[in-house]
Amino acid sequence: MINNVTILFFLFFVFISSSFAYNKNIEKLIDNYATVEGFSSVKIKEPAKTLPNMNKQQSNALKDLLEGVDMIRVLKMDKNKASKEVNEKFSNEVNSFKPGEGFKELLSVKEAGSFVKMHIKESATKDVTDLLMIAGENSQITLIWFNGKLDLEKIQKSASILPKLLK
Amino acid sequence: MKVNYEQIDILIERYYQCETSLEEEELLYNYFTSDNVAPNHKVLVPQFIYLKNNDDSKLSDNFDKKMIDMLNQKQNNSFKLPKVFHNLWKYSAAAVIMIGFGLIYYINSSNIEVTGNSELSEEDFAYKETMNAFQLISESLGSAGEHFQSFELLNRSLEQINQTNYFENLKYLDKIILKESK
Repeated sequence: MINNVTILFFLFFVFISSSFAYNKNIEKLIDNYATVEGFSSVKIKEPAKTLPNMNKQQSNALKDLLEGVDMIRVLKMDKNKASKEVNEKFSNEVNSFKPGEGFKELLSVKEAGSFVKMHIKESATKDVTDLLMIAGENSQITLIWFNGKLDLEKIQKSASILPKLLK
Repeated sequence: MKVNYEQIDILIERYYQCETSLEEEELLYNYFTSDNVAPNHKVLVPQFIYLKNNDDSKLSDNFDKKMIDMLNQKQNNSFKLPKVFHNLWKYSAAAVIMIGFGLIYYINSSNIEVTGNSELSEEDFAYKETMNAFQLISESLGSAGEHFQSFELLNRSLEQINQTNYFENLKYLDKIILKESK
């Protein structure tokens, strides 16, 4: 009797945890630094429902842009505010970071004083489900993670409407 | 043998009413197996011959016991609910409670979580950071696209150069062939 109940609880928690599991490596990296001095982070679930309310004039454009995105996470380190040790540790971690199984590198650009790395993960149906970008320039390193059903072309073209969306 | 057909008719009627004695039935069997069957009774001959031939079949002594055993066996073989379902209502209740907790957790968990912000409201900060993220990604993708376009342009130019050289080579070969032929 007890065994059966235990199994039921176990299955339930496996189901729940698998429903909420996105990508452990990225999540772990962000969670490790989100509350450290010199870092800021943002986590938005279902941004297409939340963010359009914050810019009612452009809500339709926002909805269109965010459609299909289930979650956005941003982690930013301000090198001037973080301690030297943390700065070095985070930089090393980010440089050698492997986002996990299924991810492939979309682009990697290194220029004087800056770098950009972009990884994507595709589903079996070739839909882009994750986009991870790590960018570093001057005084800050930014890690951006989009999860959902992503349209890269739409994201790329968002540059044309972003000036309207930025308050 | 003289047959009293009226008596036979009465016996037949009583036979079908299940009122005949064993002796009377024996009398009827004898009649139907004899050559003196009346034409109006001939239709009943096969039936009585069959009954006479199967007269010996009797139920065995342990028939009742066999039947009871068979019924018990059938009962034992009938579909039984697996043990795990015996307390189905308990599992259902536990599942409902857990789903309830899950829903409460899901509803209560905020859609926006922010750390390291001291200047703006959480929503404004999240909005600003998201738009900045879009800008950064868009710029990087655009810049990468430009790089790829430049590479493509370079490749095309190289191809053109190679093609030009190829035609030059052909022209040179053509000249040599012409000279040789003269």
